[in-house]
Amino acid sequence: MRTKTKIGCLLAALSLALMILSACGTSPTAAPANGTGGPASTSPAEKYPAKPIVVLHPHGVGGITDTATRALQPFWEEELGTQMIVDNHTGAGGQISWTMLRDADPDGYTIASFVQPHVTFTMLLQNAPYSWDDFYIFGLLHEDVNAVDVLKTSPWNSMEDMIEDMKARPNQYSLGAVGRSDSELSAYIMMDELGIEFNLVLFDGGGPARTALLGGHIDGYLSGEFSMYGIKDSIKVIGLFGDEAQSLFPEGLPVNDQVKEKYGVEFPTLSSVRGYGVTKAFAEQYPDRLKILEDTFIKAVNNPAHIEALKAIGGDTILTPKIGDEADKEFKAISDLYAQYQDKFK
Amino acid sequence: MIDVQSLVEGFFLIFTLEGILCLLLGMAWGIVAGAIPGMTGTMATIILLPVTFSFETMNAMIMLTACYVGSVYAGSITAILYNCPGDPSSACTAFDGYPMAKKGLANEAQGLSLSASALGGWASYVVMLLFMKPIADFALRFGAPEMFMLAMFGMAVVASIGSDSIFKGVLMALFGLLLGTLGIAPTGSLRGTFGIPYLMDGIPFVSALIGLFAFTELFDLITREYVMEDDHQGESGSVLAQNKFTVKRVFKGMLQTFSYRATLIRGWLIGTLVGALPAAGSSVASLISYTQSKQYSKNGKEFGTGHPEGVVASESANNASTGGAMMTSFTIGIPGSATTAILLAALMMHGLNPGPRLFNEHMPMVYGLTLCVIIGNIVMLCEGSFFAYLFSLTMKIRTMYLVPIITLFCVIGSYSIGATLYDVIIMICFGVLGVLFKRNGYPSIAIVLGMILGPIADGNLIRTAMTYNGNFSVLFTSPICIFLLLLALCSVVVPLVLARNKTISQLKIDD
Repeated sequence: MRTKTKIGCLLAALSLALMILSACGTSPTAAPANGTGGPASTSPAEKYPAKPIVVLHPHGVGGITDTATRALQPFWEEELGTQMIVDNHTGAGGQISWTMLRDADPDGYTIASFVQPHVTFTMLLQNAPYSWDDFYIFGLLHEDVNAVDVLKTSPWNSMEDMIEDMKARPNQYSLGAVGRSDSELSAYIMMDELGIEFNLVLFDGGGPARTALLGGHIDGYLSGEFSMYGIKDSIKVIGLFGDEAQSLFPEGLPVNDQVKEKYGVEFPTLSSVRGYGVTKAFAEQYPDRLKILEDTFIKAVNNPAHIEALKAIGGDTILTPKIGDEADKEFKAISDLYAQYQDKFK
Repeated sequence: MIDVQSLVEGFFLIFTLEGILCLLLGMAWGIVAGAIPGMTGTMATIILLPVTFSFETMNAMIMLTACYVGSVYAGSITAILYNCPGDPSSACTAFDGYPMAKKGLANEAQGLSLSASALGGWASYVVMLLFMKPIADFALRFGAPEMFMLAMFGMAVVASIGSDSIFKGVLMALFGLLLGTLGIAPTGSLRGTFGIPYLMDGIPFVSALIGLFAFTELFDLITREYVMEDDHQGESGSVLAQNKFTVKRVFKGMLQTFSYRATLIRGWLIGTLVGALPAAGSSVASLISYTQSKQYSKNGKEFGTGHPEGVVASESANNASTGGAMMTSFTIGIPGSATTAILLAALMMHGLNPGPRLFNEHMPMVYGLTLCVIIGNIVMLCEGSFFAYLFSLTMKIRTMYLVPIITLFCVIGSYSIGATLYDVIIMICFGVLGVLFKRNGYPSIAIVLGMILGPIADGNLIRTAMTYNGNFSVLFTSPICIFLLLLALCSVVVPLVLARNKTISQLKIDD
C-alpha cells in the first residue's frame, strides 16, 4: 500500500516535470502574437530588434554549418545591436528546425539557418509539412562546390584518368559520398552521363568518409571542399562541379572543362549552399524589419574581421554573400535540379 | 619520436596562471556535470563550449579537455551510488560498483574507480605522447569490413555478460541491435519510422540509457528507505547504522586498485586501442575490457556481485580510451568520439583546423595539451576524491527526498538531448520496459550495448557491400578481420569449454 502511494507520488512528480517542460517547449510557438495576432502594433517607429534573435540551427554543434554560423555570429550581433542565440535542433535532416521556424511567430525574432540541398530532400522525400511558399531566404552565405578528391598518392591526376580507368574496369573502383547530398547526386549524374560504373559508398557523415579516404578504403571521395581543408596536405582535387575554380585547392579544374569536349557531357553546378531564412509571412508583414536583417547580414559577412576569421579555417574562398530576392531565387532554384533526379534517391 | 623542443614549448604554454585555473575549473565542472544522470560528457562539454569562445585558444582547449576527462570519470560516481551511469561509458562500472555500494562499500568502490580511471587515463596519454603518429596510422587501417568485425566481436562478448542465462543476454542484445537500426539507413532509405519524423534519427541513445537504468532504478528505490540495503547485517547491527562515509575510505579503495595490476594493464591497452578507432568510443572500450577481464581473471565468476576487479576493468578502459580518441582527433582531424568532435569544433572556432596540418604547424600546442591532460589526471585524483565523498553523502538522504530529485534530473537530462519532449517520452517508455526486463531477469545493459554496436555493424556492413560490389569475402581475408573474428569465436567458445570442463571435473569429484 505504501509502495503504491510512493509510486503515485513518483508519477505525480514526473507529470509535473513534464508539464513544466512542455510549457517551456511550446512557448515560442504557442504565445499569440501581439494580442490580436495582426500586425496592428507595427508602427515603423518600434525599434527592431528590441530583444535577442533566435537562430534555429538544423545541424549539431561543431558541424560545418554550425561553425560557419558561429563565426559570423559576433559580427552580426555587433551590427544588429542585440544578442543572437544559436539554437541547435537537430533531427530528421533539418526538418525539425525548419518546422519550428514555420510555426514561430512571424515577428523577426526567430530566423533559421538553411542548407541546400538538405531542405530539398526533406520536401521531396520526407513529406515535410512545409514548402517553399512558407519561407523567404533573405541571405546567402556560402557556396561549397562539390569536388572529386583523391589521395596525393593516387594515379589519377585528372577526370580523364579516372573515367578511363573506370571504363576499362567497371565496378572495380569505389567512390565515397555523404548520403542525401549534392555529392550523392553528382555520383548518379556521373554514372548516367559518362556511362561509367563504379561502387558508390555512402557515408552518414563527412568524418567517417574522410577517414576511409585517408585509410585508402575508397579510391576517391566526392565532397564539398570546405570540409577537406583540414586534410589538405594528404589529398588532391581532380575535378570541381562548378563553373570556375573558386577553389580552396587551386589545382582543381572544373569538371566541365575536362569532360565537355572529350565526352560531350556538361554537368550542372553541384554544391552545398548555406543561407538564412525567415517565414514568408514575416517578410510580407514587416518589410522594414526584413531590410534591417538583410543589411546587417551583408555588413557582417563583409566585415574584414569575419573574413579573416574564416580564412584560418579555409572558409573565406567559398563566401558568396547575396541578399534579397536574388538570394531567395537562387537558393530555391537548386530544388528544381533535385526534383528531376528524385527517383534516384530512395 | 618526440620533438623535445616542442615539448618544452608546450610545457610553458600550459603553465600559466590562467591555464592552471582553467584546468581546475574545467575538471570540477566535468566531474559535477558528468555525475548527474542524463548529463553526458558530451553535453557538459557543449555547455562549456560557448563559455570558452572568448578565451585564448590554449586556455579554452585546456578547459574543454579537462572537462572531457573529468566527465568520463564522473559517470561512474552515480553508476556506483544509484546504478545510474552518468555516461554510457560507465554502464559496465555499475555491474560491480552498485552491488558494492549496496553492501555499504560505496566509498571504496569510488576510490577504485577513481584511481583506475586516473591510472588508465594517465598511461594512455603517455602512450599518446610517445606514439601519437603510429597509433593514428594504425587506426586508419580500420575500414568498413574491420569496423564491422569489431562490432561483431563486441556482440559476441555482450552475450556473455550481466546475466546468468546466455539466452536472455543474446535476446536482449539482438533487441538492442534491432532498435539501433531504426531511422535513416546508410543507403538513405527510411527504416521503421512509422512516419514519425522524430524517429528518422533513430532512438536517442542517451534517453534510452537514462530510462533503462536511472528511471528503472527509481521504482526499486521507492520501495526502500535508503539506497543501501538494510538486510546486509554487519557484525554490530545493520550496514546503514554503522556506515560512515569518509574520504579516508575513498583513499583505501584507491590503494586497493594496485592489487589488480593485470586487469589495470589490460583495461589500459584495450582502452587506448579501441579509443583510437574512429567512432568506436569509450562505451565499447569499457565493455570489451570488462568482458575480457571477466573471462581471464581468476575472480571472473564473482564479477557482477560487487567485486572490486570489475570496477577496475571498466574504469581503466573508459578513461584510457580518451587518450586514444584524442590521438586520432588531433593527428588525422577525425573525431574518435562524440566529445572529441566538440573539441575539434572548438579548435575550428579558434581558427585552427584540426588534422595533419595542425599536427605539423602547432606541435607545441598539441604537446602542451597532452601534457595538460597528464597533469589533469593527477588533479583528478584530488578533485575526484573530494567530489566522490560529497556525492556519497547523498546515500544518507532518504529515498523520499532523493527519488523526486533524480526524477527531475532524468526528465531534464533527456529533454536536453534534442530539446524536444519526444526524448523524454522515449526515456519514460524505456523506463517502463526496464522495469519489466528487470523483474524477469533480462539484462538491460545488453540492449544498450546492442544499440551502440548495432549502427556500427549495420552501416559498415552496408558500406562493405557498397565498396566491394556485394562481395563479402574481404571479411575473411583482411588480416585485422581474421584476428577479430578469431577473438570473437574465442570469447564465445572458451567460456563454454571452461564451463564444460568444470562440469566434468565436478562430476568426477561427485563420483
